[in-house]
Amino acid sequence: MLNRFWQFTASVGLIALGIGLGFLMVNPWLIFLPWALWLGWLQVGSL
Amino acid sequence: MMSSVLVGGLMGWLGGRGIGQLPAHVLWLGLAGLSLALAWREFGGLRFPIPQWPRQTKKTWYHRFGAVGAAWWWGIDLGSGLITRVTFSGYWLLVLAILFQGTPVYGGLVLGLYGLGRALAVGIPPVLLGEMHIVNMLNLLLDQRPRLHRWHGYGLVGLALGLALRGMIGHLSY
Repeated sequence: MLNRFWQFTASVGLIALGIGLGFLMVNPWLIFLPWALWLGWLQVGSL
Repeated sequence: MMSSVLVGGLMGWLGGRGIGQLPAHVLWLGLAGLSLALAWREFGGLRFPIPQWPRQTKKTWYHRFGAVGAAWWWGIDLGSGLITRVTFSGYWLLVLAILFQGTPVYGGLVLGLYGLGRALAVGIPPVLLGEMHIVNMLNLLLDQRPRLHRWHGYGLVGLALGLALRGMIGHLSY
């Protein structure tokens, strides 16, 4: 069960990293968009 | 997510009026330095407090408003990230980016995506973790927090490298 959770977390992180690095050279402000989504996801279980 | 968009838009609006422009390379290198310091803090190498409101959302809202009503209130309460504990320090990089960029649309988009991530963190785990009682699931996820914080640290290092690279390239091209 946890494997699927961590696979999903890693996939989201890698996609966010790829998109972020792609954005970086176009417009650096855009790097914070995938970072924001990733950061929100990491707070899973936090109240 | 709605409160995230609204608060992000407001931050962007305030940033556009209250904060002057910095040279691009100073801005990117400064944010890269901060990101690296936060990563170091995450890995336990540095100890310093981060600004936060020391409160959690009200668990009792479930009994007061029911499941659907409480979900709305929790979403509004947690969405902005400003009026509850900041458990992941990278949140402040988002806030600084919004303030320095200084437009409501960008602010709404950035914090809106943050809110979307938080909403997905509520909706997707039951699909990934299978059928289990909500309390057991929350306990299982709470046990994963040290690892989630390490991933947060790796993300901060990646962000710092990217921003530093952009800052240096920008500086060299002047």
